[in-house]
Amino acid sequence: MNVFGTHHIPVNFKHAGFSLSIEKDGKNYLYTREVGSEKIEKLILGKQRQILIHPIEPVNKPKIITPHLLIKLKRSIIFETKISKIVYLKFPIEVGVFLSLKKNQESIDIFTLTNPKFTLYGDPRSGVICKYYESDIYSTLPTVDFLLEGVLELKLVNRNPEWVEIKKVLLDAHGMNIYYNHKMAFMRAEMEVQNPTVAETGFIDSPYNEEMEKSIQVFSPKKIPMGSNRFMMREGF
Amino acid sequence: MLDKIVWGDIRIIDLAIAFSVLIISVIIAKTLSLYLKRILKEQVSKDHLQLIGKLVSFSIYIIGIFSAFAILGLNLTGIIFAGSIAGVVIGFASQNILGNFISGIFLIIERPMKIGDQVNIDEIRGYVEDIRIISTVIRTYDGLYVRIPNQTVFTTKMINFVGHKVRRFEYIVGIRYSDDADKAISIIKEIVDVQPFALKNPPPQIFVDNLGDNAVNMIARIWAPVSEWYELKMTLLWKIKTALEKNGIEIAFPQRTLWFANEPKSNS
Repeated sequence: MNVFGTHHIPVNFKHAGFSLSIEKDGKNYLYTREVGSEKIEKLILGKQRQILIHPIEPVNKPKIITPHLLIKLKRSIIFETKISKIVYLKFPIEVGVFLSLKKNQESIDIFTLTNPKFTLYGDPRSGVICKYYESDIYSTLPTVDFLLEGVLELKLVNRNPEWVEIKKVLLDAHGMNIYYNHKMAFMRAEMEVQNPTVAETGFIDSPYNEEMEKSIQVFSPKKIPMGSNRFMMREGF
Repeated sequence: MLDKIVWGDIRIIDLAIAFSVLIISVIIAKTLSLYLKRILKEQVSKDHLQLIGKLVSFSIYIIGIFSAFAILGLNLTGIIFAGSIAGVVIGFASQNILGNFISGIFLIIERPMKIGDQVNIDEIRGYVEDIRIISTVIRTYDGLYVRIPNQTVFTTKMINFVGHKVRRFEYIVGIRYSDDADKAISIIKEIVDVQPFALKNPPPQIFVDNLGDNAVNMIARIWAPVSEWYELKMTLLWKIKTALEKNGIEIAFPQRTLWFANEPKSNS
């Protein structure tokens, strides 16, 4: 079942725990989506013939209170000095449903099949509220349930003169570049350890392979000087 | 050429320097005014930003004009003396207004709150609607418009409920002595864990706090983002109560058992 991508109306998807359909309702279209006990219906008045279903930045549900995603590693990484390594993590999926218009896309729904959770990074005065997710660490591309989790390829760089222990990764959704195919959602990021308490994270705009399509960005990159879409983890990692 | 006298003792060079001082004061006034507007735009309403900008510009213009006069060698003693007398008179007449004005300026500099924050000032609770030069306007939770003089705001205790990123709330849950407190704690933990806005870190604390007269009292302390804590607080307690009852644990209520010393013995 290829949920992600561009679809011609009418559409009808059913998957474990969710159903989504757009069907004719008189002269209009009725959008229906069910996730667990939550059901929403929306009447679409327009001439759109296509919808886009994309994996989007996982910080929208249950509502947007932060652009930050913190992935807590189930096992910590002990990382040698002055080297670079690639590991794979999983991140939660949120699905965006968009009407395809001539020049842009209109969001009609966002949902997730995961249980959202939030956390605080840093102290209560100056810390950052983050969407929270726990992930194992994989040395090769893990298999995922494409509606629940995506794969994050994380390039780790240790510029610290000593070994470090990494327990979490914090990413800013501004500049998050998610790619997808029918099997998974994918994004690339890097984390550069600068000293024992500070690391910098950012995204690399590149798909896993050429067949992947790029998702719509709900959080567009900040229009400020270079490097500003990166996040400085100053409260430890 | 530059030493040529144009009027009295004033030379062309003096005129040029005085003119330059005026130009520089205009540039400083404009720059400072713009800078203040930028840094204060979240703390102060648009109207008051204009007023602050004008006050700052006007003060710098006056300093510039006085400096230019001094360069030209003009005697300003009379004006300064008259100004001082007028200042003292106006100062006495408008002591409270001045106090509020100065407090307003300090509030803007110190920035203990911004527009939209939820605060408690002098036991008045509500949303900050406006921070003006003389007063601060609060919209109370029941919708009243309250104007508080800035001197009061500055000198009394003020609590900003949303000054930090997260906030903690707590419930006291009393269960019967016959119930299993460990089981109750794990049920409450499960309920808290599935709440998105009950933060993972700082972690929630759920523990038996005391053995009361009528109940085993447990405390549940939960952290939430300041924007979400109240809604979470309103909904979570009932979920805890129903989950406990579903698992056979009941919320205790005050009971008193009376034993009578001369109670007749049963014949059986």
